[in-house]
Amino acid sequence: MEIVIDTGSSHPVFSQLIDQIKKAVLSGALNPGDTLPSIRQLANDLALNHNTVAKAYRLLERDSVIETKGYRGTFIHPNAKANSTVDLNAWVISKLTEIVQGFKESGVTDSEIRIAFGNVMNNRTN
Amino acid sequence: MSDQILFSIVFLAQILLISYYLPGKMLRRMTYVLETYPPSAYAKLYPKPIAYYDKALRNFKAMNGFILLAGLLLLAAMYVYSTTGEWDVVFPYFMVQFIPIMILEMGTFKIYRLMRKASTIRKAELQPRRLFYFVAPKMIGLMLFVYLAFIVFAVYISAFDLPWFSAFENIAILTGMNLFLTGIILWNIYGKKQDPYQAYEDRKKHIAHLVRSMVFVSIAATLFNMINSVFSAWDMRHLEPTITSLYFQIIAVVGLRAIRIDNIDFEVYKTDPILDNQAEKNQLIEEETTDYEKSKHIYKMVGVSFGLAFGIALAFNEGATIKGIMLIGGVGGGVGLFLGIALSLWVSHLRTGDSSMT
Repeated sequence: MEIVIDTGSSHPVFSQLIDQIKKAVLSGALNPGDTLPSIRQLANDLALNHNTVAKAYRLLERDSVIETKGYRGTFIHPNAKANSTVDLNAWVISKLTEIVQGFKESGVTDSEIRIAFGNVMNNRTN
Repeated sequence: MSDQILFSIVFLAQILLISYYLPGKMLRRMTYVLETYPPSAYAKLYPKPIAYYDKALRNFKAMNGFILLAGLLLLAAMYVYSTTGEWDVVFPYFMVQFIPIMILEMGTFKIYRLMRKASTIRKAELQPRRLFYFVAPKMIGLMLFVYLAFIVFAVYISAFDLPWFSAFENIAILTGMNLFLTGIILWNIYGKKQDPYQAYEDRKKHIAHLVRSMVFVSIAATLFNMINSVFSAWDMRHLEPTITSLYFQIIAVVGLRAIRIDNIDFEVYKTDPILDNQAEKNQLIEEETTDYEKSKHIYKMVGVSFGLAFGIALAFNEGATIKGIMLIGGVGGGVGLFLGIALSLWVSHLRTGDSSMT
């Protein structure tokens, strides 16, 4: 199963990695239990920073598409196929859109929404 | 007299094999690739103008020719003037014979770097690589067994208090050599993909080929050391130059073996028909090094120079032989290079805040 990354694309590299691994799972090219290369090996093969590949693996593990078993390596999760259809980013965007729409209907301005969002992200309160 | 004749024949074979036959084979291979897979159709293979490759081939041929001539003159001088034929020239001459090959290798790394810069597309297989995918466990077991056997042998020999044999020195040199070969093996299996376009199957073949060669070199070096020591113990040191020359020829033949050209997938280097003027773009790519990358090379060069000079000075001061001077100088240079790389990585970390992968 070959993975192809375009470092010149506007789409973040870690995101390309995640998308391709999920597509491979959905297409059956990768099956539950299949071993993935280590972060170091994949980073070296793609000439990427370790942190980029580590981030992709971390997010895939969060989404239960892969599972890391310490020194034994990284494997495709038993429920990877079902979990690969879940797009957390799309879910966050749709939820945020709902909430922001609600605020606007209540008369809250765009800048108020942005400031409040920033404060919440930084755990600050007025 | 018969020892001198035997040595002359074996040393002549070394001269012709490493400075004539093997370079000739390499030149024919490179010329075949240039003619069969030209830049017009396989632009991705040639990040530099064709003139660069022609010049590199000419220089390689000239250097080997010069070293061949020097070797023949050296052999003639040794035969005419030497009474015993035991000039300690085999090792230094072998190091000189490898210079053109080292320069060619360094040039290849430069080309690979340009190839990586030429494209933003990166490919990889989602398959882990393990050592035993490329070499049988028995071979690694044999390599370890021979190494441990040598340690036992060295300790045993040292009990006889022979003035020409130092167990510690021999074990240290062999351990250093094995660590170096292990480093090369691990770097090839897990390290950066040098050629960004290389097909995965070709990369696996290349890794397997290299791993097996390094394991063979390790076993051969250890056995050579043992045989040399035994010969010295049996008062047959006059055969050492002959055995050493034979050993280097075996190493050269094994180390310089290459994968058959017809087994390599060159389609991956074909010019992309979608991109306009791909060949022209590749021909015009010059090596752009940032100030940081230039200084990275300076750290390495300074490290190697200091290490080499320090090693040679130390060996000279201790009254070492030519072989000893070259060996200690080489170790000093290696340590200096390591320190230079460490320093450049530390500077990179200070500048960017993370370690650089390229």
